[in-house]
Amino acid sequence: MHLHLLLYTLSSRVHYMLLLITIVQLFTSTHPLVLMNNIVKSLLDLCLFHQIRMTRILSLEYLLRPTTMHRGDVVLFICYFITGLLDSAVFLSWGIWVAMQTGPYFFIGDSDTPSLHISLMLTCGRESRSSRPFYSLTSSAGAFDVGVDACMRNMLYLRFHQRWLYET
Amino acid sequence: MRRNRQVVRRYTIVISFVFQAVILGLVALLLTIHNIPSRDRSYVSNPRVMYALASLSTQFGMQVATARLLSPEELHTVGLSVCFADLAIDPHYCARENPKRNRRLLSVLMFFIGAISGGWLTRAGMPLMGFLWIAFGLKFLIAVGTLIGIWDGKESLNDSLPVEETKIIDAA
Repeated sequence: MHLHLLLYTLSSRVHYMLLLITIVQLFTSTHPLVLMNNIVKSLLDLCLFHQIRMTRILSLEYLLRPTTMHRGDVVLFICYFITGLLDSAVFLSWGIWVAMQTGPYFFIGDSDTPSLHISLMLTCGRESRSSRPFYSLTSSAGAFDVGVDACMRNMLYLRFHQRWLYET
Repeated sequence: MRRNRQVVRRYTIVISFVFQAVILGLVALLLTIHNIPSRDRSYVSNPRVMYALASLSTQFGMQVATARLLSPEELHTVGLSVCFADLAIDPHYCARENPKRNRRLLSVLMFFIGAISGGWLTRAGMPLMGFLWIAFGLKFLIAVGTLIGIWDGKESLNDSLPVEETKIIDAA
């Protein structure tokens, strides 16, 4: 029952199979030209399957029109995966988080961590035990210490792009 | 699962993800040519590591800003505390169809998979630039997918088309 529909679905998913084969070929000693060919082929197949034309993609009207992305949550899941991957890797190699901004605030109380006493001075009005002013000033040449700097950058970004966000 | 109803412009998401991918690619390139040390626990003493951390955090801030546009229930893609709390206070947690609960549980699962694979691959000896290149590729794929509209769903295929093309499709 509905076997023809099943067969159609299976045959229309060829581009996904080609993408999978390409991903597997990335880890083997395939010639890069063959890899590129496969990638371009599968992307073109994807476009054809979703009835998308290149002229429509390149038109400004298509880009600027407000649309509803019904499957936009898939993007969020991929973003969650990226966050977990990068956060664990960066913490294991550099000893601090990049995505989670709650964690770096605990280092403010850690007086053995250099350059964080600037923020402590700003918040509490006094120096920490192991204050190394020159060291901290040179290390925070760009901005404040790492965590607070990153937080502030994030917050500034959100602040200045509020209009850009909610205009749609 | 109920569908997403947020109205967005395509170019905002595409530009945001391309910019994030560019930042990730730059940091990955600097790690690849050994401009930034790949393993440095005294992160504050090295300004290069600090700039890399700051740009990565900026990139994640852009990700949060974009995720606000895509989720009606505010999955902000950087932490899980709010996610767990929302799961706990959900009155329809055991209902058969609860798309918000499904999305939150899937988010937790994806974060878990990412963290576990990141830790194990690091222990297996994968350098940091590998993770950054993977993230670069994923973000670039997200941008391309948004551009060609594979997250749109079947319903919005017609309303994103111009009127004439819609008529032609209906006639066919």
